Amino acid sequence: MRTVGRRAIYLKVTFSNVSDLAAIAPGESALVTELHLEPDVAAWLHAVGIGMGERITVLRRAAFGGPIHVRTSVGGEFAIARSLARAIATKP
Amino acid sequence: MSPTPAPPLRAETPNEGASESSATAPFVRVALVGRPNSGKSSLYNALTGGDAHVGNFPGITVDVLESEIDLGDRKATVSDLPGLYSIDAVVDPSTDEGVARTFLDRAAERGERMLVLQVIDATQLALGLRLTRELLRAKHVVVVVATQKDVLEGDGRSLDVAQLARAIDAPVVHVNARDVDDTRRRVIDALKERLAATRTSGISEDFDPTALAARVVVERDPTRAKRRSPTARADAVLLHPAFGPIVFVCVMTALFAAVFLVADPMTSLMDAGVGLARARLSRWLGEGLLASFVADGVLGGAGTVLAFMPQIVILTVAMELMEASGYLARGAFLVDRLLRVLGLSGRSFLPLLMGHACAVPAIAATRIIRDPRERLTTILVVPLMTCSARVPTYALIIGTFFAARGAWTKAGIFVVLYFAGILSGLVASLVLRRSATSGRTLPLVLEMPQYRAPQARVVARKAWQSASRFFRDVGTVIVAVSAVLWALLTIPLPASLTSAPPDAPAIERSVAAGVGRALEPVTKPLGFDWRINVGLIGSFGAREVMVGTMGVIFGVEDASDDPAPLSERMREAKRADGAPAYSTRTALALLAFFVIACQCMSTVAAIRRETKSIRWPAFVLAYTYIAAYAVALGVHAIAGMMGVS
Repeated sequence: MRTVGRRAIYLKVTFSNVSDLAAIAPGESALVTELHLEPDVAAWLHAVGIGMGERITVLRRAAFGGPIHVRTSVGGEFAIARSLARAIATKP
Repeated sequence: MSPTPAPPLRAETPNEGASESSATAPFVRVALVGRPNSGKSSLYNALTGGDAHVGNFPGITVDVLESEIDLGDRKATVSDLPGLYSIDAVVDPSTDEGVARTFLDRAAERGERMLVLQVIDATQLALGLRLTRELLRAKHVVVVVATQKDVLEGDGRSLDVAQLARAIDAPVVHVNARDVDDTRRRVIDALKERLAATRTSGISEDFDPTALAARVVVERDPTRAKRRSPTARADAVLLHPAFGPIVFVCVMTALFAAVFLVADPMTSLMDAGVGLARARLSRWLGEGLLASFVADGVLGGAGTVLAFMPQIVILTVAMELMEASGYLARGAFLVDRLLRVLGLSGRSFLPLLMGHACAVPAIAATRIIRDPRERLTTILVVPLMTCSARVPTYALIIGTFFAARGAWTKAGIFVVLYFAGILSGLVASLVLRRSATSGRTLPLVLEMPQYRAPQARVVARKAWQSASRFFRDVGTVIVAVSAVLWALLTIPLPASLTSAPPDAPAIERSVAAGVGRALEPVTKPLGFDWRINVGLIGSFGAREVMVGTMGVIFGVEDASDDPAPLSERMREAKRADGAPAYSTRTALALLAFFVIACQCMSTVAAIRRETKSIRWPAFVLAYTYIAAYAVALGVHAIAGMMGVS
C-alpha cells in the first residue's frame, strides 16, 4: 500500500490576528480566509466546499475536543477534526 | 496518476460513430460517477433493474459492478464506480475514491468510448457541479442526472433543468430515483441524445458552480425552505451530547443482538442441511479414504462457509441500512474522539464494527478510509476483533472448564472475551501507530449526509453482493485449507517417526499429531499438550475448525453440532502420570490465545488482496501469534500465582 510522505500536513500559521474555524461558536458562521494546510489537503477540502471565500456555519461540536459539525455555503454538511478546523483561518 | 484522459474520449469527438448502424456501433461504456451519498446506487438499480455482475478490470481490485442496458441502436455497459468527490485532488489509489479515479483513467488509456453519467444530489447542487466542472475540464463526455426531485420540491424549491443544461452544455435530467420506470426512460433518452450530439460549444467548463446553482434552483415557496429540515431536527437528538451516545449504544446493542439472535437459528438450519448431505454421501461412497476426504475434508469446509453466510448477510444488511439512512456518519462523529486516542479516526469505526462479525468484509470496508496509514492500521487491527468464528471455540472451552459455574458466570466470561478483543485491538493500534504505521495522518473530514429511508432493493443487492463475495473469496480458501488439514490429520507418519503405538487411532499417528508432539516443549508452559496442539494446527486455517478437530482427536462424532460429549472427554483426559491433562489455567491460556491469534487464512488472503503485498499478511500472522503466545503464557502464570488450579 502506498503511503503519503512524512511531511507535516499542517503548515505553520503565520497570521495571529485572524480567528479559526475551531473558535466559532455553534450556530455562528464565518468566512474562510485562508487554509494553512498542505496543497493536496486544501485542494480536496476545496472540492468538498470548504475553500477560501466560502461561508461556513458551525452546527455543533462533539464532546471532549471531538470533531466539529459544519454546513458549507453550498449545502453540504461535514464532520471535520478539530485540529483541522484550527488550521482554517476565518473572519466574521 | 494523471487526471487527464487520453484523446479518444475528448468531448470534441463525441459524434464519432453516431450514425453507425447497430451492427457496427462500437462498444460504449457508461461510467456512473458521483459523490458518496448522491443516490448513485438507487440510480444504478433503476437503470439496470438491480442486475449486476462483477466486472473484471486490470489494476482494479475492488468489485466494480456492471450491467448491460439497451440504448436502442446499441448496447451499453453501465459501470457503477465507488463514490468520488474530485478528480483533481490527490488521493491514494487503493481507497474507494482512488479506485474510481483509476477506473476513469484506465478506460481512457484503453481508448474506450465512454459516457460519464454523473449523479448529483439536487439539494446540494453546487457541490455536485464542482465535480461536473472538473469532469468537463478533463474532457469527459458528461450526462448529468440530478436526483432527489421529491426532496427538493418538498423544500419548496425546483430545478430549472433547461437553463442548467444550457450552462454546462450537457444533457441534464431531474428525477426521483424511487420512480424507477420514469427514471430509466429519461436517463436512457439523455444518454442517446448525448451519443447523437454532433458537437459541443467548448465554453462549458468555465461556469462558477455556486453562482450557477443559485441561478438554476428556484425558490417556489420561501416559507417551506426556511423551516428546520427533518435532518436538522433528527441531529438535534441523535448528536445531542447526552442522548446521542445513549441512542448510539442502543443501536449497536440491537445490531449485535440481531446478528446473533437471527443468525443463530439460520446457521443451525444450514448445519443440519450440510450434516444431511454428509450422511448421504457417506452412505453412497461407503467407508474409506475417498469418502472421508469428500465428507470431512471438502464438505466439512463447505459447511463452515455456509454456517457463516447468515451472519454475513445480516451484518451487511444492518451496515447498509445504517449507511443508506445516514446514521453511520453520525456514529463516526460520536466515536471519532475516542478512536483518535488510538491514532485512528471516526472513519475506522465501520470496519472495526464489522470485524465483530467477520474480518473479511471488514477488511474490504477499510476502503472508505482516505488516509493510507490509518487504513493500514485498521486492516492490521481488525483481525483482533471478536469475530463470530471464535464463538464455537469459546463455547467449547467455557462449557468444558466452567461447566459447574452458573449461567451468569459463563455469560460474563463471554462478555470479558469480547472486551478482551477490543482491548487487544486498542493496544495493537496504539503500538502500531507508534511503530509500523507511524507518521501523520489526514484528519477526519466526513460528509454528514441527509437522513433518508433506505431502499429495500438497493440494500438487498448489497447483501447479495457481499454474500457472493464471501462465498467466492473466503469459501475457496476455507475449502482448500480444510482439504489440506484433512490430509495432515489423516496421513500417518512412518512408524519410526512416531511415538504413538501402532494400534492407536489414526489421528494419533498422523503427521499433525507428530507436529503436535514436536511442539509440546514450546506449548507446555501454557499448559497445552499435543492434542491441543493438533487442534491449534487444525484451526490454523479457520479457527472454528478447533472444535471439530478436538472431536476427531477425542473420538467424538459431530462435536461441532453437540460439544457436550467432547467437553466431558476433555475434562476426563489424563496425562501419562494420571493427573488431569487440562486445568482451568489451561483453559484461560487457551482462551487468551484464541482472543489474539489470527487463525484465519481467509483474513490473511483478504489482507493480501487489500495491501497488494505479502509483507503485511505475514506481519499480521507473526505479530498475532507471538502476542497470543506471550499473553497466553502471562495468563497461565498469573492464574497460577492467583491460586487458580
